[in-house]
Amino acid sequence: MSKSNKKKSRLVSLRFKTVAVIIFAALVLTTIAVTISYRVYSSTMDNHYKTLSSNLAKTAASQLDAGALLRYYEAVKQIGEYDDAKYWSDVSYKDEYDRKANAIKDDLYYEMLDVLFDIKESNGVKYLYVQILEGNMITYIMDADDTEEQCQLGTKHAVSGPAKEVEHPEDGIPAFITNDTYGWLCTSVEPVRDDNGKSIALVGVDISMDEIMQDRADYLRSIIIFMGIAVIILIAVILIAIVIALIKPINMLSDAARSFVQDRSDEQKEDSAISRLNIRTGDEVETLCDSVKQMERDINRYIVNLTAITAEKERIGAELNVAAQIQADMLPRIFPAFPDRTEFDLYASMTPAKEVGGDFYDFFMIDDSHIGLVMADVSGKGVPAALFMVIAKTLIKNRSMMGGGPAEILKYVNDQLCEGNEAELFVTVWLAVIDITTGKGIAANAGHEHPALRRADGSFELIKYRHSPAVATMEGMRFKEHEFELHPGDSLFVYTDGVTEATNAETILFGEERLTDALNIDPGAKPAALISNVRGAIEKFVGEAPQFDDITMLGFSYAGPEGKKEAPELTLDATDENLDSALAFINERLEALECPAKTQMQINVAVEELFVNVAHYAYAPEVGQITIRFETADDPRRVLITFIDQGKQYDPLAKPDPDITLSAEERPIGGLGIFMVKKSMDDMRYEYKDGKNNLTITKNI
Amino acid sequence: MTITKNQNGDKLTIVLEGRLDTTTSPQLEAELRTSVNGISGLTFDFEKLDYISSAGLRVLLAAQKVMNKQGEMKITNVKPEIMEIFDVTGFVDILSIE
Repeated sequence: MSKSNKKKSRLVSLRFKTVAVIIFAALVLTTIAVTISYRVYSSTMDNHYKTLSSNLAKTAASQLDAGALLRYYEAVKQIGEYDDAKYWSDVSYKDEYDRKANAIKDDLYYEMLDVLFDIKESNGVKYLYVQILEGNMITYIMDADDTEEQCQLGTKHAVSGPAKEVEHPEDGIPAFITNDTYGWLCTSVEPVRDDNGKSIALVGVDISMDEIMQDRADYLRSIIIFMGIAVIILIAVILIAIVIALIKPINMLSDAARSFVQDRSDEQKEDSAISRLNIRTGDEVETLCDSVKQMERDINRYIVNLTAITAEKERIGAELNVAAQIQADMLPRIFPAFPDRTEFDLYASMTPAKEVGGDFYDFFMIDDSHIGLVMADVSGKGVPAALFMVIAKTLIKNRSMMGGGPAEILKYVNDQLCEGNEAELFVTVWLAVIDITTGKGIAANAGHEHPALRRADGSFELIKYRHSPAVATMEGMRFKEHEFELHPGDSLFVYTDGVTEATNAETILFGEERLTDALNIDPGAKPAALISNVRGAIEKFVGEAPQFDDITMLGFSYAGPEGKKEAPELTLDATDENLDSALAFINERLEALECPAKTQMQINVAVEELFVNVAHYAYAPEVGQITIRFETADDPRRVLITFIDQGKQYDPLAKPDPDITLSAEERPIGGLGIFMVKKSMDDMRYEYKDGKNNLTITKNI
Repeated sequence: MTITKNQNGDKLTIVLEGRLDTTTSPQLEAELRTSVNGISGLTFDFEKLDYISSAGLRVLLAAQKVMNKQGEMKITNVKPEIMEIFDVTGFVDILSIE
């Protein structure tokens, strides 16, 4: 929804921008055009009127007799000052003045006045008059006007208006236009000269320009209206043109581009929206359209290529996965590997890096009393290393099964691998053959990491000695072997360089020291726990850094020819109903030990109290499991019973003892059980470890 | 565990045989709840009782509290193993043991 709105507003804005630009351009152009045409029109008209008035004034001036005019002027000066206000208000003054003035006017005066009237009437002149200028005073001699506005002969006034600004007004004043109480006038004043060319009088012609001024306003209005209409038509035409030439094809283009992915996924469509586009605007839009079409073709070709490459890559990846799986499956991974064997315990693991690698371990019973242990690392990575590993592993095992010491075995394997080893791969091998009836073993180390050994009750240490070269480096090579002896409780730990060379983000190696530290977290632990401890330490050390190499480990612990008897354990739901089973488990063993009846009863009470405690409180209201471990020890001869549950953390030893001196009424019911156990057992220990409550009671028997 | 009752008027004797533990003490508790009414003398015969745990002690304590109100309670023929438990827990001072 917001998308379509956006699109709409974008289109509106494009149209709006076009209109705004056109209006702005039209305004500027119209203003310039109107101004210029108005100016030209006005000045043409003004010049026309100025020339006309000037010509008329000249014509009139040529018709006048300068001498006569001078004579009338002299005569009028004799009749005294003319008072215009009095003339129009005082009838007797008017009559008196008219009489005097008419006496001055002779036939020539009237003749000339007629001529002036002729000129005035036939040329549409508003005012036509003759004046004489003396100093700064003007005296009217003639005025071709028969209305009351007529200036009487002898009317005087001071020079004013444009006449004042002209240096020699007696030579006439160029035409000028004024707008005053008489309306728009074009005035021209020309001199009347005597035979000597001397200016005697001035003829003034006033042509009314009111009409022409009205015309001028009309002209302005009509040109603005015309321009307005022209602009509107222009906008409409340009808009249509833009919509056709730009907006429409662009919309088509954008619609087609938007449906590109959809077209691709729609397999029924033969051609895409883009290829169906037919934009023939003959401009950049068409070029754009062609470019988009070309782009689509390129993208399609690219996608086809990419699909093919991806498919190929997927196939190779899948095959590599299968290869890695086959390789991993070659390693024995079912533990316990020899469930019937009590003489030893062993565990091994390989954590592969991303790529198939060449690490491997192996273990196999050569005969009933000999076990073969192998830890090896093929140089290099990837498929070649993996293939080499498969051959090496098979050769070592097969040759070992035929008997012989490690040196003999490795010599054979070396010779076999050297044959046609064009890839120059080699493999470091630690191989041991151990007689599990005696604990005696023979080992050969062909360039492999130092094994770690722990003597019973000791801690792990790396056993360093001179190694032979790696297998498959040179044909005919001999390998050194050495004897060693394991005693009951001893453990061996072998590994590949993926362990010691595990690298953290600061590119620091895990190293041998951290390895022995990790092994010695719990040196007496079973091989599986040892390996888990080391793996935990590596993971903690490495953090987020990627694993570059396979991490392969093998742990072997020797229990002696008799084998180590596992402490018997019973795990069951902690419920009251199972109490009898728990007691039966304990009593069976106590009876085997010929435990005195009283002690047995005390142990029974203790087992019941502790069992019931777990059953009632550890998991309440749920039901959880409890494990009871039965152990014996000598000196003094004693029984150790451990109760393990994963319920709420609870240390019963932390609870204060009840007050046993209280009377029956004061004694609370309950809280006696743990107290009874404490009193009857020789030792009681509590430990909370790995989310488990461990409570061990010891009773000497 | 076997419970045998011998009632003589308002005197009741209960003979326990076997183990008085978490599993069996609810039986005794239920038995006492129904039969202790109107009893002024309650006797437990422990001659054949081999074993007692805190669950059994709890029932004995509850019975002692009831009988303190309506009469008396005694325990007879206690075996040494069980006597030791009564000793350790201070029950020798609460119960009348003959």
